Amino acid sequence: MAGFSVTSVLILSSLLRLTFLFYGLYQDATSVFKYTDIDYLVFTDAARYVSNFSSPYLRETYRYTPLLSWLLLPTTFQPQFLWFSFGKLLFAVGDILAGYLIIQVLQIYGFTTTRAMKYASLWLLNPMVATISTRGSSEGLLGVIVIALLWSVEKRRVVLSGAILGFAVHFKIYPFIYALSILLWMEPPNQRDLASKIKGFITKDRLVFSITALTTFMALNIAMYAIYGHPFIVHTFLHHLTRLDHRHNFSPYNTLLYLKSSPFTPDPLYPAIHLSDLTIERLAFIPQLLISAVLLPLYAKEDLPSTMFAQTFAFVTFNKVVTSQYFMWYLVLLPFYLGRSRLLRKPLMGGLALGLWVITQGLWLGQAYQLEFEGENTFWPGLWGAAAAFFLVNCWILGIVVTDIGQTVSRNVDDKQRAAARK
Amino acid sequence: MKRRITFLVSPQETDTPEDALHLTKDSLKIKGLKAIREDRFTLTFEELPQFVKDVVKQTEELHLRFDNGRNYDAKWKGPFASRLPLGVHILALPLRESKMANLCSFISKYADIPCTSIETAFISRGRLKQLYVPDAALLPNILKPLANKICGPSKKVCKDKVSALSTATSLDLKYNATSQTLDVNAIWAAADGNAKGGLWDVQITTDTPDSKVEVGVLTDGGKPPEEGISLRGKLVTVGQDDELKPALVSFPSRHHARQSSIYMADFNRPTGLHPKLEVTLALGGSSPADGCSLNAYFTVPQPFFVDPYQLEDDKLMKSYGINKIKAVAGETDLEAPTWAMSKWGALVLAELDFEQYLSKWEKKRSPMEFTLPLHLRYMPTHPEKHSEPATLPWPMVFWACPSEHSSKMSTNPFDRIMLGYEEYFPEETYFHHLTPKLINSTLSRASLEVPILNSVDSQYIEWGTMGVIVIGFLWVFGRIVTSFIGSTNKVGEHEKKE
Repeated sequence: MAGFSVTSVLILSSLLRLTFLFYGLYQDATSVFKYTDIDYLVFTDAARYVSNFSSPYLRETYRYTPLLSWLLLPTTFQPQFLWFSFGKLLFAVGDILAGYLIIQVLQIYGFTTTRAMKYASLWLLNPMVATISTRGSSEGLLGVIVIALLWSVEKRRVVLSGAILGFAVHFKIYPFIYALSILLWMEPPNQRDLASKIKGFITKDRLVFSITALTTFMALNIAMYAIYGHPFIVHTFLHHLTRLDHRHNFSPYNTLLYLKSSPFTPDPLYPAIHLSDLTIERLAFIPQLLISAVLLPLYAKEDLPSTMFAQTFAFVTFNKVVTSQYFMWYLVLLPFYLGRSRLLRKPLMGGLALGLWVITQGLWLGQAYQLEFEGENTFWPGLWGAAAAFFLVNCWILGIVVTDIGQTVSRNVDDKQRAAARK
Repeated sequence: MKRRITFLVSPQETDTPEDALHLTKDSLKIKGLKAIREDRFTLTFEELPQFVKDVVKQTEELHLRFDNGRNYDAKWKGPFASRLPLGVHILALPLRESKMANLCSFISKYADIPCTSIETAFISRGRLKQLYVPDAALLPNILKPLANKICGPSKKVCKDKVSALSTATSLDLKYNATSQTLDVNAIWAAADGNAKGGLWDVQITTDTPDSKVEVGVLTDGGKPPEEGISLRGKLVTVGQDDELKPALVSFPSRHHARQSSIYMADFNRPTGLHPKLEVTLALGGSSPADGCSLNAYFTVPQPFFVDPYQLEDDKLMKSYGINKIKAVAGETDLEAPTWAMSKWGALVLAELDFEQYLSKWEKKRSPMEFTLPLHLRYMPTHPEKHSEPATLPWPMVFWACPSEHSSKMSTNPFDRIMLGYEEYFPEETYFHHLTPKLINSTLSRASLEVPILNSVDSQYIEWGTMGVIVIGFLWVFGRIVTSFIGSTNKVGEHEKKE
């Protein structure tokens, strides 16, 4: 890697994505098994509605901000064989830009260019990332937004940071978990004890950041509401709060959600047994948000990107719906954490973590395949068990991540002690 | 009330006994006749029972149809060539802005078809409302309570007459606000006669001394006019005529049977949650005429659904033997489970890729095949079952040929319209129907099992999920707390030193 320049890594990652893109075009043209993601057809259909001056929400299952369909307007241009792939190109460019920004931010943290490139390659040269973008999934775009947020925060561009966060939450809700982290990170120096931290909590930067974030978020919502009305609110936000999500996915809640959303037939042998009034599925947001949006931000002061990685990882792990695209959300932040991780320092532990993550995921995929394509009833205990195992493995890894970041905290304290001792 | 009974004897049926028909002053005796039978009753609005009046007076046009999905058998079907996917089909056009609430309560009361409102239970095609129920055994269950209601409890003759309809292969009820008449039209297959060996042994009498019954015993009349049907045989009006009159009639016909063209259908296995219905057709290598298209009309009830976006993928559809999807109407939500659905499903009209098949047929004389890709909704959990059966009726497969003469097809005394697919073709279109060939089943439908979550372990699922979440949460929470204690201790030490 040493002989490579940043440019060559970027060229290499562009070539990787172009190869995938062209391969995808070839596969789509020759095979009935499509390379293009179904969601891409949803986006481009929505863009077609927009190009006819109607609402993108006329397309069933379009559950995104109208901005996405606006961005993809060029996909409706003629000739179609050229322009249709514009979105994939855009997502891939977003990917590469995210990778470039990863290098930039890593350098802010004192990484040498070579080392930064090595870690950024985890994203830039990752075939999974390249595949997801060139299939036409918009997660790559989200990656660049999140890294841009990190970059602007670290560069202390307060207004820009607020604007990006507001935009990101409008775009995909979940980045709101970063709000508290960034606020805590903006702690002025010389606030050592809790009392002074509370007393001096309101600072100009924090106020400006909060106001810009809120203003951007609300301005975008109001603008979109003004144009598209109620369907915008329903599909972009309410849908995600009210969806049933009874179909199988990686989430440990999945089987329970199927059980609880279905009408219940009592067992004639045990007619007294009914579904309990236990509604943990309704309370699922408590552990999820407690960890990802409240507790983990407490580490932000010491290591913002690793904290954001842990937050995202926790948010996805404890979510009521988990699909493999969500893994992209934390993958983009992985390079920042991995550098200071025991998972790299102790290869055995790292290998075990990766191995278990892959194996339990594979286990679930196997069960899901049997259900979906062979019609075998694997709902219980197979599919449930695999999802539970995957969840527990994720929690175990999250524990390691938390401890690692915690040690950074301790180390920083140690540094301060040493500094004090020197005084 | 007007009655008309037609017996359609296959031209191959040479051994019809000479004394099969015996006419007296007010009755016609029929003995040992092998024939398709059609009974038609025409009632004026005034003759209808009050509860039927209540239903029809809210409609401009109403069609209730039933098909039992069994073989017609007959090699020659004459004017009775059109069939529908097995089960109940209701097509209703409301009178002005009527919500047709009476129709809704009628079907939920007598047919046990859930209907809170037409709006929620029927699919809309413009003003036309359509409902389909894939139940081939529904008719007897409906007719028994209906017979009581129509005839009153004591009138056995009347009740028998109504109940007799339950064995019909197909039953049509048609009401039209313009003519203010209700037509009831029942057809029995050639093998479904009431006597031994499926022959007809009946005595047709008039209902009242001054009423009449038109009876025809007809067979193929030889070379028909183009796009028409010709019948010859004997006609008689019981209660009026003294003798059977020879007859030869010709008329244009909308529906024809395509000779020796058959098809069958089944799911590919294993079906999984994305079953495909594979249909095999024996067509020979030709179409009835130039400009004809080969079509398949599907009714897709819950828990099946089609993905209209997938059906738009021309390349994929071509690979499935489908030229293009002409229409998808009804419920096509891509995510919801069956318990969140209020409508019965959707219908699909597909134009098959005959051209492509023809080019292959020149080289290899194999049957044509096409496939409809489907998906399954999640179905409710159950404590005793691990799967739920689901059945999909076979599609109707037919050639649609544009007419060169704009002849009046409605002059056909056996005409049948509003079957659900004609609106997708020009008004003057001839349909040449293929015959479903039942081999492994008695009904023209394909079945599969939908895996469902067995809820007998619901307690374990609930507590197990909760346990796993709590363990995962406590582990992470514990790590967070531990690392904080670690750092505050150090901060504490640090401050002490200061």
